[in-house]
Amino acid sequence: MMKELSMHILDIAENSISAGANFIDISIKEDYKRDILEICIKDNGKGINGRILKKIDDPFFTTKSKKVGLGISLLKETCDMCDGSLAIDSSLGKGTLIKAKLRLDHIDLPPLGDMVTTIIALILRGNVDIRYSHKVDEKKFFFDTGKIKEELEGVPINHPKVLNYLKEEIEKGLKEISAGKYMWRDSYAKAYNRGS
Amino acid sequence: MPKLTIEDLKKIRERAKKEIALREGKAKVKIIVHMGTCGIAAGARECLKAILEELEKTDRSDIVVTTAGCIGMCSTEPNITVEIEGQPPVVYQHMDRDKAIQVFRKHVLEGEVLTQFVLARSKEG
Ligand SMILES: Nc1ncnc2c1ncn2[C@@H]1O[C@H](COP(=O)(O)OP(=O)(O)O)[C@@H](O)[C@H]1O
Ligand SMILES: [Mg+2]
Repeated sequence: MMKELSMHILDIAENSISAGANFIDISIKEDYKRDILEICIKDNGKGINGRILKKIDDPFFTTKSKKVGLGISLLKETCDMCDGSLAIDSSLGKGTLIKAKLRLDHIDLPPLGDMVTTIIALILRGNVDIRYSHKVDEKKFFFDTGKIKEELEGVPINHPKVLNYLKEEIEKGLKEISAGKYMWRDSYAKAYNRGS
Repeated sequence: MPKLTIEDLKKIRERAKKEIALREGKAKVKIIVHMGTCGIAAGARECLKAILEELEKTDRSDIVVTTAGCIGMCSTEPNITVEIEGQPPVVYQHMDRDKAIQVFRKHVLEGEVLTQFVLARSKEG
């Protein structure tokens, strides 16, 4: 149902914000030698209590005022589908860590997609600092709204010109490390299939 | 287009400071893109992207774009709320990239509510 992993990431980080977090750490590692894509989303929100944790990957469970809770179960489904796993580590009053592992060369692995707008969407939530690190083998990109806010000396981070700057920064950084390059393989595969 | 550097960020900062000092009020228009699970799956993030691109084309610094949680109506997602100072908020439903651009150009810039896309008008606040 989520077309891109970056949509899952946005959705999981939205949970963090609902849980009162004002700090979210997103880390993505593309390890081609070990064939593992690892996505960690860590927050300092209120944590998940045991009763909820037991039922959390059931798509019909939510604590919010609607009928189904889908976010975590959707991500778990994606992980299972790609020979991976989803782990949740949460402590009340401290925060939550969601760790997704997927197999990089799995045919069903969704594209990473638009991480830039995912990060911008989280920044636009307001009172939350976002740290984002992305590793592709040895290459590394790092982004931290805390540092940028210091540089801004009180100018709001959601100022249109600032946003545009951030957008370009992240775009450039991800391009330099060829983030999400596993999709090249996919487009090769498609081109190959079309050709044959 | 040449890439921006940290020096550019400083320039942007200084320009923005002057602007803010001149304006010294709050934003006149607030656009809220709702980011619940259903909304994200149905394209809310692409709507946000389109709106930011439209905003970038104008020179309006009295428009703020924010994101918020889900409004609890999965079947009407993606939802966008437009709040213009002195007017009741308008919630739009079933937004996509194109409709979001229309909402921005017509409602946000010209003040014309696109009734065909409206979900509900909430009570005067
Ligand atoms: N980071 C988090 N911190 C605290 N509670 C969380 C977090 N993530 C999820 N939860 C809890 O788990 C429930 C299920 O999450 P999810 O599957 O995303 O469905 P939904 O967000 O629609 O309820 C949430 O309602 C919330 O109570
Ligand atoms: Mg959720």
